[in-house]
Formats: sequence, C-alpha cells, structure tokens
Amino acid sequence: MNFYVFVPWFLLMLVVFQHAVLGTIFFHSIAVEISLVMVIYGGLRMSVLKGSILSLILGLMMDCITGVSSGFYALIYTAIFLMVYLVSLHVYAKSTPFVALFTLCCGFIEGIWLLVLNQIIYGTNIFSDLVLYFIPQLVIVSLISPFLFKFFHRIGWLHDGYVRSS
Amino acid sequence: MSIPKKYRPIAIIVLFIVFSIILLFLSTKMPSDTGYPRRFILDVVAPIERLIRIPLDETITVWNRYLFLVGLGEENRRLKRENDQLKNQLLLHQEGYLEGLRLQKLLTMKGQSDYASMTARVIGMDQKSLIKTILINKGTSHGIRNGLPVINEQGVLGRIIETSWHVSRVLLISDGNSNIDALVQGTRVQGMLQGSGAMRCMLKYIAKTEEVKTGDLVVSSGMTEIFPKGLLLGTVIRADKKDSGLFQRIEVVPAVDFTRLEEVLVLMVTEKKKK
Repeated sequence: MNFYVFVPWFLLMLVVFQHAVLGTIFFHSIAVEISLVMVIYGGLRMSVLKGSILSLILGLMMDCITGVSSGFYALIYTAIFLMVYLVSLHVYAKSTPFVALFTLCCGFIEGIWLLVLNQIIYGTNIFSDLVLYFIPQLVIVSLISPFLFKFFHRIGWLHDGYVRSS
Repeated sequence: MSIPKKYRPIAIIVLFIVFSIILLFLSTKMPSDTGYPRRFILDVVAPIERLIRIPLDETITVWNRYLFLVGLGEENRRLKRENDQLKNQLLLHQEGYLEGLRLQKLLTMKGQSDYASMTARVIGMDQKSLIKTILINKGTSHGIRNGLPVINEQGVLGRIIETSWHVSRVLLISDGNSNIDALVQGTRVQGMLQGSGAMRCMLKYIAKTEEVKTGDLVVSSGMTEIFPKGLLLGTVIRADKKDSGLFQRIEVVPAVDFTRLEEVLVLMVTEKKKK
C-alpha cells in the first residue's frame, strides 16, 4: 500500500531533481536521466504491475516536465520496461558491470525510440542532437547506474519488501 | 477468455504500452488545452524547481564569479607581461627610429662633404680625466689613422689621436691639447681654437682691434691639412678686450654636445670623394 501512496510523490521529486538540480549542475547541456535507471531498476527488481505503473507515471511526468506530447515518454519507458523485463527472465542481473552495460544498451534503445518518435510525431530529425548530447549523457548515466540501483534498493516501500531476483 | 498465467505479466505491460500509444495518439491528433494532470504537475513542479534553483543558481553564480576572478587575475598578469614586452619593443623601435634619424643626418652630411667619410659608433667616453677623449668602433682595419677629423651633424668633435685595429681614440676640441686653425665666420678673422676643458674653448690670437661679438660662429679655416675649411667649431659666448695684452679673450662653446654622442663621422681627408 505504501507504494501507491509514496511512489507518485517520490517520482515527482525524482523528476524535479533530475530536471532542476542535475540540469543546473550540468549547465543544461547534459540531461542525466536517472528516470531511465529507475525504469530499468523496476524492470529488473520490481514486480511487473508495480514496475509498469512506475514506468508509466514516470513517463507521464517526463512528458509534463519536458513539454512533449502526453504519452511520448510514457510509451518509451513502458516499452523499455517490457524489454528489460523480458531480458531479466533470462539473465543474472545483479553484477555491477552488467547493470552499467545494460543501462548503456537501454539508453541506446531509448535514443532510437526518441529518434523515431520525433520523426513520426514532430517530423524532426534529432540525430545530430542525439550524437552531441545523448551519448555523453548515456555514459554518465550508465556509470552512475550501479550506485543508483543500490540507492533504490534501500528504499523499502518502493517494492514493499518484495525484490524480484532474476 | 483468460490469459495464461505465464503471459500475464507481459500482458500487463502491453496494456500499459497500448495505453501510452492511445494517449500519445490522442494528444497529437487532437491537440487541446493543457490537461488538468499536466497543469497540476507543472504547478507542483515549478515552485519546487524554483526553490531548488535559487540556492543552486546562487552557488553557481558565486563559483562562476570566483572562476572569473581567478581568470581575471591570470589575464591581468598575462596582460601586464605583454605590456612590459610591448613597452620594451616600443623602446627598441623608438631607439631604432632615433638612430635612423641621426644616421640620416650623418648621411646627409656625408653626401654634402667633399671628402670620403666613415660612420662610426661611440663606444666609450672619457671626458672627466685629464685628457678629454672618446672611443669609436673603427680602427686601422677600416682605414682610420691618426689625425683624421671627426665630426657629427652638429659640428666638429675632434681628431683621431690613437688607433688600434678596430678602435680609435678621438681627442675632443674641448681638451687643452687640442688646437685648431679657426676663423670667425662673420668677420673672417683668423685665430687658434684651443680647448680649455669644462666644455669650453678659447679662440686665441685675435687682436683687440678686430670686432668679435657674442653669437659669432667659429669655423675651421682649412689652413692645416687636418680640418677641411668651413666646418662649424662653436659659437662665441664671450669676447673680452679688457685683458692686458695684445689679444682679446674670446670664449667659445663647442657646437657639439659631447655628452650626447652616439654616432660620428670620420672624414678621410686625404681621400677626395670619387664623383
């Protein structure tokens, strides 16, 4: 029950922190997307229902914060969540290098999603932006992802004591 | 119809994906005013973001200013260094320019003179000892020999009294040992210009009957082979007829300022210029 009470606020704070604090620290040139790590964490560690809800809410909040059409990030995050979930059924996903590398892969997939959806919905090609900004951001996110995993793991109500072992 | 238990998790996720797609479709195909959920989130986020940003922005501003000041200090030091270098360069250029002007005057003189001449640089002065001389950087290897007159654009300096291969000593006209046949330019009265030390000369052997006044120019008479005729020696600053004796006491200040000597011209008086 705690999950449904705390998670929306926690995710709101997470998105605000990501946008305001990290954005300011990195002079708004690199967006350190810890929300993506949250989605990956959900896919690897949390129950399917909670993870899906988390991904959807996080995606919707990202839509609001970034100003894109509603459902844009929601679709990307839920799709990534599905992919992560499917992968988690077949691999041992607890080692630190795996987490970092897997985050990097998911980041690339998110990049492809962003590229495709931008082209379809807005008709803009953001390939050059992706290369310039997204790849450095990906490297940073993948490097810090193991630490974020440990942090999320410590938040008990996030999974109400249930931690899915891959 | 029930979904097999094995596929239920995937079905849940697919359901959420479908929901997202529908939402995206609706928001792009039917754009409307900002919905309430978005408004709520924006209204919640904006003040929080502002609250977070104020101290962060302040910190970053302070840090940037600090960095700016550090950069400013470094830039200041660099500019000062550059300024010093440029000042030195400017000084060199000014020196070069002034040297050029002096040499130009010497060359003009060289062109006007009937004699071949050689430019030399003053490399030493010895005007406080008993014998008032200067050293120049030309010697016998350049064709310099004893007795040659040395002049500059102001007038006559003196004559060579000692030479080595690359250096020569010039006896200044203000030295007591210097005697030059001279004449007063206006009246053409002839006499002997003798150095008296202390940057002064005496024009000797001018009879009291002759008219010499302050301001008259004294030039070389050309009676001896050493100094060609008409070279400026100095200006009369005092002519006194009150002395007991046959001759006047005429004080002459040399035309040349011996304290500011840099380049001089040695006249090769035995060699007439080839025209």
